[in-house]
Amino acid sequence: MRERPGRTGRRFVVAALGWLAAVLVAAPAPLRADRGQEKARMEARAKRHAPVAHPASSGTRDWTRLVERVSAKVPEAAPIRLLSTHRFGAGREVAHFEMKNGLRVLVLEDHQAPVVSFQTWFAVGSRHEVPGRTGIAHLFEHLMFKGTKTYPHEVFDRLLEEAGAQTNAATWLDWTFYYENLPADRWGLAPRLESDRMTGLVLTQEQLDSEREVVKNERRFRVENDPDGAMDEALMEMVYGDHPYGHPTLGSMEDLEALSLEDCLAFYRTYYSPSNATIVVVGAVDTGEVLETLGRLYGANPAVEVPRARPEAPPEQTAMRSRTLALPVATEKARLAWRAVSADHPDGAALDVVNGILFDNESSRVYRVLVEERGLASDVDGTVEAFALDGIVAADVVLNEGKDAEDAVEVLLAEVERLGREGPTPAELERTRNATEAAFLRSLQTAGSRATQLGLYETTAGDYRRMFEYVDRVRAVTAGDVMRVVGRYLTRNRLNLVVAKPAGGGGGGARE
Amino acid sequence: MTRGWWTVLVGWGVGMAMAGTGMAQEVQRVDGVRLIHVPDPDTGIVAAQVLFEVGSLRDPAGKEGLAHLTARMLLRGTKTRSYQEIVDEVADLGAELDATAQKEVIGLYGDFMPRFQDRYAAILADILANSTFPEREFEQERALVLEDLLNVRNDDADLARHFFSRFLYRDHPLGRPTMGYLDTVKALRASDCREFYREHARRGNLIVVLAGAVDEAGARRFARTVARGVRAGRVERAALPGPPVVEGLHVLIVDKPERTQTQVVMGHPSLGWSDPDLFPVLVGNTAFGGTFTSRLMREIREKRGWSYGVSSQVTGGREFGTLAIRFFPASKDAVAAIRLALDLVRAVAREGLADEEVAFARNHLSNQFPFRLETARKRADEALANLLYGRPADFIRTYVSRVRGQTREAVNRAMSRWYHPDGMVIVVVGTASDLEADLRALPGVREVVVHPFDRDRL
Repeated sequence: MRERPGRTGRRFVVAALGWLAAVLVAAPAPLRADRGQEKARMEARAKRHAPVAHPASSGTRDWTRLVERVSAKVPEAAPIRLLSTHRFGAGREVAHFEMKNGLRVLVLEDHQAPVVSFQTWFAVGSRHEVPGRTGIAHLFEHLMFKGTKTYPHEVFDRLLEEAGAQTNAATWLDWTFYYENLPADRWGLAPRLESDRMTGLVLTQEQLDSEREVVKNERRFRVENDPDGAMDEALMEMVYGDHPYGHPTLGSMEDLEALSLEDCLAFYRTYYSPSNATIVVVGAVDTGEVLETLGRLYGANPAVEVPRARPEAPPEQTAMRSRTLALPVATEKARLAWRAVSADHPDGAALDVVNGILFDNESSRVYRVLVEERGLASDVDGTVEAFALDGIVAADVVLNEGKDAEDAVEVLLAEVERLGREGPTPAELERTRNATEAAFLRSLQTAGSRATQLGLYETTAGDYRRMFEYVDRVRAVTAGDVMRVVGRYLTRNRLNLVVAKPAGGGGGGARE
Repeated sequence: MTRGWWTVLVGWGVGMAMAGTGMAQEVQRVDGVRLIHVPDPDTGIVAAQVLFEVGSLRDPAGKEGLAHLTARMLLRGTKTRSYQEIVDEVADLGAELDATAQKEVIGLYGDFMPRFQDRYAAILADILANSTFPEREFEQERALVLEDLLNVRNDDADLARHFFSRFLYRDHPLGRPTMGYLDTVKALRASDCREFYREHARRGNLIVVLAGAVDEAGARRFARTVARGVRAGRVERAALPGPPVVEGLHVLIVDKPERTQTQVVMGHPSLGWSDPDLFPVLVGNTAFGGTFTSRLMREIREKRGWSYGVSSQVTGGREFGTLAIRFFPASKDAVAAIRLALDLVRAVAREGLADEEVAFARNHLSNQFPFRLETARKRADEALANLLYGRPADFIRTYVSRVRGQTREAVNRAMSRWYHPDGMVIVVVGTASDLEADLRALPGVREVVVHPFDRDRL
């Protein structure tokens, strides 16, 4: 889930991959869909325990009666509270519930296709790791497939695959999530297996050792033998330093090697509990049946007090940082990042507009100058990554053969500064608004993608309803907002730069 | 970080072309153009493809990369719009529009919001009718293609896939890369693209695909608009020679310094869409290497932890296809993993699959079927695959019953016929000095070629 779009060029990746696949691969979600964020869980939780703000206010269902009926049927989960509802397209509503043990449930009934996506989001990611134990959140994600007393190793996957399910998981800075996409008539298998492994996981040393090798291979694949991965890792370390966002989610080889079975079990006991999870169910289901099923399966599991210490924000950066890596790249590459804002920060929408104007497509300012006018680069891309704490605005430049990354970065920075000084044109603002709307629609085409968006916003931005505000927030951004956020965040003294030079022709050292 | 993405994407991969599998849609004729239309008003967006059924198989010898560069040049300017005006206008709509080239297709694809349908159609119509292939823009686009060819070298997995096709098919037309070679692309001229397009972009070759928030009348209007300036006529498909016969093991090491990991692709030619063994192989390959709990995955990843991803994929074509087994072990485990994979292929070819494995694959494929039709876009891609690959019109309608009808005996007969452990091409991207001696020692090896990763020609 950390795959970046555009690593081999945005437009023509199809030539290498096959066009049907490229057509089928939807654009990433509008708001950094496959990167983690987390936000204000403490405050959000407190609000959720308050009386329901608008039960049954917006929709077609009598939610209050439904909750009462289910609570009566599954007393072990009661009281079940309705926290909120929100309209989702024509005739559909998302409903948000909480059980007695703190398990939160989002349900979107959608009978367009006979499929269901069942996702379990845990509010734990690599930022919850401690020095010397990096990589445990991700390794543990792998270990969650190793079996329980009821469903031994491989039975979990075998049952799901035989039922036609697509299943996988992902870990990032603020979260870990597990998903099963199933045919609608078999959706009940997912909660049966997920509830079992939430509390009943059985691990052996042999399983840990085997999976440790798999993860080390994943690290070789994604970082050691992938220049983009190596640059990403260096950049995050540079931006965040000793802050928990600064170490790699994959962990270091040394730490992976050192992780013990007891470390893993302690991690499980600490973070995997109903009170640290949100379940998202989207598809051809009946909400009452979902609540009843989950109440029976999860209701008796006790809430566990989960450590929720929020790390301090990293200190303000006061000078540009840069690092040059010697890597096996054909041409130079540059990756830039400015530390920006958290997922729920009001400046997030304006930063998305800035990204759209500067980096986002072939019509963008920096692409036009570097690729088309100056012939310095073959590709430019940008992204805004909003995490629970401070996120980043990032840009990638792939240089043309023989061109110097530092020259391109100077041109890029001049364009950033010009935007901050002169602001966007009305046409650029309108273009970005349309692009945002289209990207939002693209991100919601399948049951799985709808569930992912709901889970991502709920777990990282603190409230799934923020996803429905996103297009309007972007539409409200003014030229003044754009100029202000460029001046506030995208300054030279907040810049972090990683340059890759072809191995043999560049240094491997760091300078700051 | 994911637990592993590889196998869940494949199974019966069918080179992306077959990856989708949707309901057979009736193909309409609109002004001589084939139209595939799958409506879904709820999506809020329309996915569009305009494709000419002619691709890089039409590249003349010495001009490899021509169809690909021609497709890319379609965005580089018309009689009425410059390149910048095209990309700006598309961006103004919040739409997407890209070019594509494959062995048997070139064209454009993207999406748009319904309120911009007429403006989007007008841009496409202008491109299809009035592209000028201007010299200055050609120089720029060719330079970008050359950079893309260089940058393939950055990604070991891409390199492995790239060289696998080339080493397996060699002088066969399928061995010629769609993006071309550095020297052939450098030698192309704008006039080559202009001529290629003039000759091949005919109404009889044009397929328009629309999926999403567009109704019947709107789809027909869209097709009529985009096709109105396209020349009449049809260019027939290029005849494809039969596949090469692989005897013994042929190893290519794509030598890249200081690798701690390898990328391995091994396989041989396989069956096409019309072969009666299609469904037995679909079921058998799924059990063998198509899921997280398949044999390959269990042995290579689960038991030994040798590779993060493992898969077996049959990429079907109209006449024949390709079996490709992929994994990426650490350099130290690479040869052992290759030996094991060969043993597993040998075992499945000779001894077949167990009852439980066949039953599992049948259930997996038939139960997973609703996902192949989940969205309008997927359903449209199924209909398109029928057209492009000569798939039976009832492919989707009969899919589940044909999967469920496979017996262990039928599957094992087909596996024995289509899995050839003693006739394989093995491509390994890695550091040759770590691998060469052990690879030469593999039983049945007929040749080991070491090729520098940064040399274009084999």
